[in-house]
Amino acid sequence: MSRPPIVERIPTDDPNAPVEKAVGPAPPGIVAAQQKINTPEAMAADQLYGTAPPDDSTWQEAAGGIVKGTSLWKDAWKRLRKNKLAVMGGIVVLIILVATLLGPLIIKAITGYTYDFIPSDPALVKAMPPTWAHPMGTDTQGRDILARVLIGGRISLMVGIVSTAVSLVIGVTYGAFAGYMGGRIDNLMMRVVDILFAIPYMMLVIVLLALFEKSLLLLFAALGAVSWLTMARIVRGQVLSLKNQEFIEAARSIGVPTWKIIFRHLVPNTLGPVIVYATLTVPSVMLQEAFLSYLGLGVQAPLSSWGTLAAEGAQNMAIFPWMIIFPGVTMALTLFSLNFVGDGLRDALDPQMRKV
Amino acid sequence: MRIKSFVRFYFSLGLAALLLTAAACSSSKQNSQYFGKNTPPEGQVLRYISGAEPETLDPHPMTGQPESRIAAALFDGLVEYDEKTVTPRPSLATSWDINSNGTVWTFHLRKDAKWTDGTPLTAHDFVYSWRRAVSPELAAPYASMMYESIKIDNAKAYGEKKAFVRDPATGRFLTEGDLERAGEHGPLTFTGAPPINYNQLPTQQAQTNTSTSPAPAQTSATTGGNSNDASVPKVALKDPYFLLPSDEEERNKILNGDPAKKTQPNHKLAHFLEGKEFVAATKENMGVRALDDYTFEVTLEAPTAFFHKIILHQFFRPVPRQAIEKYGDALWVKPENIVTSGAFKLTEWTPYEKIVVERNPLFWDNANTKLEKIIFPSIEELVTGMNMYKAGEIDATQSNEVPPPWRNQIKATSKDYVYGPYLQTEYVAINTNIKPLDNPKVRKALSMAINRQIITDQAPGREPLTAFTPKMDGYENAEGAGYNPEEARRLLAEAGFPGGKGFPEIEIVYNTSESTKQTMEFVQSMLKRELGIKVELTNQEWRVYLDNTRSDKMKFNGLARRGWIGDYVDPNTFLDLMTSASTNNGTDWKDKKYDAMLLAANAETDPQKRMKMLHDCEAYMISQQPIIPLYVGPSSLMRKPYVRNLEANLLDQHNWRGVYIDHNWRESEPAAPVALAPLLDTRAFPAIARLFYTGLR
Amino acid sequence: MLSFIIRRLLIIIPMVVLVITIAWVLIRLAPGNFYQTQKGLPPAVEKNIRAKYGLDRPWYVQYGKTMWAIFHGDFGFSRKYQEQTVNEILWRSIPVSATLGVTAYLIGLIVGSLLGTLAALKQNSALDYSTMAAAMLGISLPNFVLGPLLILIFSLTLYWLPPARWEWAVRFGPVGIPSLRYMLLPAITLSALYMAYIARLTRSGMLEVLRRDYIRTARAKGLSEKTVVLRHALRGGMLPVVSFTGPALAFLVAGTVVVERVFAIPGLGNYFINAALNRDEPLLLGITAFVAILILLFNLLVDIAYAYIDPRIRY
Repeated sequence: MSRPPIVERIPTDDPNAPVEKAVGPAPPGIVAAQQKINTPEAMAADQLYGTAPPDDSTWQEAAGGIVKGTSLWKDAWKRLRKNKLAVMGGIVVLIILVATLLGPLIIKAITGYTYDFIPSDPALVKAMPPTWAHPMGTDTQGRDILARVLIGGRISLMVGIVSTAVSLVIGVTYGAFAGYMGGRIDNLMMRVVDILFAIPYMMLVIVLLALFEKSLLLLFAALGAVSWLTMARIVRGQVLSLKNQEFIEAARSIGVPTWKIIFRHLVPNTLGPVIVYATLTVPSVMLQEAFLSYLGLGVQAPLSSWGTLAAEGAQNMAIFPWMIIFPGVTMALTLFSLNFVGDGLRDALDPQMRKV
Repeated sequence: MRIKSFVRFYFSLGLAALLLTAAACSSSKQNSQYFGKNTPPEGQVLRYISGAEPETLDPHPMTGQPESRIAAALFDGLVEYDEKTVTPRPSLATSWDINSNGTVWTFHLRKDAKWTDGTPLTAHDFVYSWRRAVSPELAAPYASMMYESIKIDNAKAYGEKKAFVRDPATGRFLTEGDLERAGEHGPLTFTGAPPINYNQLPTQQAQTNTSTSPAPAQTSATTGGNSNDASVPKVALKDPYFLLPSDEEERNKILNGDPAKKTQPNHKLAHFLEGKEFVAATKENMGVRALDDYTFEVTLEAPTAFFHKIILHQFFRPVPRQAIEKYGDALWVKPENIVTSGAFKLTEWTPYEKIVVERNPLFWDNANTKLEKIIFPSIEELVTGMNMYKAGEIDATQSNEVPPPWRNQIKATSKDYVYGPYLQTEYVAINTNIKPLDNPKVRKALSMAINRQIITDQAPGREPLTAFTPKMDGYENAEGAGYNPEEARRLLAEAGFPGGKGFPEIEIVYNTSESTKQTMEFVQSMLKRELGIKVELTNQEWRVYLDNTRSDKMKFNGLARRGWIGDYVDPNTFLDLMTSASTNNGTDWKDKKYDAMLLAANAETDPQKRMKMLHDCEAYMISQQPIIPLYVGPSSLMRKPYVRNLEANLLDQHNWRGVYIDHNWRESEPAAPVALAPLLDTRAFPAIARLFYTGLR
Repeated sequence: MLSFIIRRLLIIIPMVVLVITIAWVLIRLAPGNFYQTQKGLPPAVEKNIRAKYGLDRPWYVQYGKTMWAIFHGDFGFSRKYQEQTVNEILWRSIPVSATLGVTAYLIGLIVGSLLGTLAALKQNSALDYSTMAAAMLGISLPNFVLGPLLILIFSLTLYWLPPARWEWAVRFGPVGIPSLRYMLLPAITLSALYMAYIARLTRSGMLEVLRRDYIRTARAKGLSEKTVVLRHALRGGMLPVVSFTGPALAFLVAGTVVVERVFAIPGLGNYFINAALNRDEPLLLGITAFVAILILLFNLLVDIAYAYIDPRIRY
């Protein structure tokens, strides 16, 4: 159970590495830890200044032991539930999700309006402000905006979730790997990212559309192709800084395999910016979907998405304000709530907050 | 605590949105009669939105409408637009004569016309300009206007790099008629006279050519040569020369077959042409010539009644030879190099910002030019243009600058929204190659299922369209089948799809734009509702859409949105689009009878008779229903009350010479302001507020 | 470090060639041509146009010619804007886009990092919540909504600021000092999103760093809170922002379409989109090359900045 202080055992590649340069030669925290190595306080301190979870389970597992006790995720879940704001946000997201799935059916059952229902009476084919029959008003074709907002949520939420997932999986893995490997591999991998950044995206989408059948998969591919790039750069930046820290060097020195170092030690420590950036990805892909619709790849009329509704509403903002207010508020509500969940998740997953 | 702040937070978010829009919309009450500020600019200056950044100011490669309006200010034409009727009024040409069969037009030019560099503008400038317009080296996209829309003698041969075929033994040239008469086995006699060299004056030519003057004009239809259909009218035309590519390699591909494209060799032709000479067509063969410095003569292959109308187009306006030869085809239009002839001269061109033109003191009619300066800012977004107009930074706009969904509102509240008839049609082209749309009955059913009223109600001034051409003076439009859902269902059932059963799913492709999307959504929902046909909407980026709907590709499964804005005030600018030679009507509908009917109509010199014939053409075409006509769009512009002589006309082209700013406009205004409804329906607010409150409790 | 920088500068050349090549291929694979008009073209006219622009030659000849000219710094004439060379367009519109983009980014960076730091220092306070809420508003208000909204309020209701366009107050050749009246609204519109991103990234980065041992040490040493935050914490806390800055600033300098169109600003972003939409090959290649250079350069700067922020980072 007891283990020697990490600092002393670091076999650095570079003997002159300015390990603790920033804070002076003898940090009091470390001195304290060295002195009282077996006390519970020292254990807590270890984890604090280690900036990473060199916690028992990890060490046991690294040594071939059996994982026991609370995992990172279980622990996080516990803390997430305690965060009221995050729970509220989660409930709102859930409500919106259910509303987009069931809402259109309910509206159809009650009022008979669907997202593409254009009244046959010419007098009703115009933008009308909210009434009880149309709580969000109608668009310029006399269609119920509520129905369009709800159905639009389906594609927008799907796009948001899938692209964020892609960005998380590819971006984090790619960035962490590049950052950890460093040197030539890092250089090569990051230049690939640069090239993907630099090629004219619009041309790429036009060509993709010409070469492949238009489909949801292609939409995800087009969105996924670029949504992970910034994520990869952010993760790499964090990893570059983290990988020189003691606990990583320690893990390396005792022979923990590379992938385990990356996923068990480095990635959890980048989760703060990663989660924040992931929640920021959601609105940007939702709007990007509207741009792809313009090129013919996103949703096809008469189907709507929040992005296309917002774009349409923005054009008529001065004249039919309800066309932008309601889709806009729905979208903002979702993003805010998602964000509270994200912040809660960040706090819950924060390794340094675990015992705090 | 946390939850409370959460709720408070959402509430304030809602409130903020509400306040922002309320603040944003209160502006509408500022001016009840006009849209925004009404402060005229200092002096005689007009700030006019002509649309997006011009691609070029060279009238020949020019294809867009925004730049064509600027070109009209910079370049004078033989004739100039009348502001109200956009019919031709004499400008550089003081008068013109037409020969008895309508094929030779002689223009008498004014002698006081000058370029901005001081050199006189003569008939030679016209000869140079028209040759340049067609020249294969310049490769102007509109080149075919000179040989398809109007058929200038040998312009096609020159522009398309063709060669005539000469018999060295007789010195005679091969014509289409010769080949026809020769049949399968010959003998082939060459009867054509040598192509005229228009650099020589007619008198000299008469001397050199009398001995070999061609046999009098043959009677033969140029199109549908093999057709024996008695109903196809025959037109008296000059027997056209038989043409082959002047490039030897290209020519051999036709004669010997092209393995790359798997075309068969034409053995008969190869046999006939053995030992003959190929004479490449040159610019001198094109039927334009200067009889003297101030007399310009155009020779046409076929009489063309609307010739004087089409030459209003900027493509026919003269360009300065001196500047082009000095600076080259690209750079001569730079503000520091350009030489122009119009009422205004270019003084500033900052791309993507603005073009400034100022009064040209050398202009022959300078005394009657009223404006000192016109500023054309380049604005891509309609809403941006409207914003600038509202803020009083713009005095007038091009047609259709008002976003379509705004128009009913703006019309109700603002007196500065002006609209009138326009040569703009919206229609849906039917891909006549695919089943079951190859059946005219099905096509008719589709067209009868469209309730055009709903679409035309969306913006003021739209007129339902059931045939193809908009209303024009002296022309009686054909009428197609209008909205009749019962009849539509009956026709569809007759074609084998009762209630839409078994009808394959089709698509409508359209280019991405808010207003076309709206219209196509209407069409889709109507086809679904009335006929039970499933229609998918496919929006495409403009160039992709153009490419897919080309007649040699036709890569769309069903219907394609189309719009057309006429180039000149004559039904032909529309009817021409449906001929077999047209590459871009989106239907691939080819009908020899229609081609011949149109050709015959345009050769008719009696205007009334011609209009009747054109009407028959349109009626015949719409009886075949290759398109679903939708509506005729209005010309609608925003114009501040102090702008005078700028009208919403049929072409949205302007005669800038007469436009002026009336600084005393308020005196001529009606005294009592009319109470008009506010722009924004404020009934919306209680409902929105209610929604927020109920949502929060 | 120097050799690292030199190596990375040298690699820009093959990278740009690669990106240009990809763009060149894409434009050939894309349907549609720059010359197509609604009127349609007779095949013979189309052939003349293709011959004029050398499109009838074999692909390797076209590619070779293009690349050869580009190596000599000549992208040729734009296909759509026929009397303007690509170099001329770049020279004219880059200063506009760059001025606007850098201004907007600076606003975003200063305000965003300030708010983010404050929020992190006072985590879970009212300040934290309101700042982050404002940030989310910035993110969920897309600039095609925010721009028109600001115009409606400040230009069309209050008549304080012009609704569109761009003016230079002072000019020095292609660059200059822009007129603030004209630049204010677009710069705010453009900065809102970045402000929000930076505020959120700073907050999360700072939260991370503030708990690190060296900050504890610094505090234990008795350094003032101000020094701790500004000298030690901010450095590490800005790491995610620095990572984000590379590509974000590159794209801002290259111009943003929505804002440029809404405000009718003659910047590069509009040209970029139009070049793609019009299949304007020379212009597209020129702008793509510029964007590629920007991205590679900015990411190099970011990597250098990493080493400054965290001296342990080695390449």
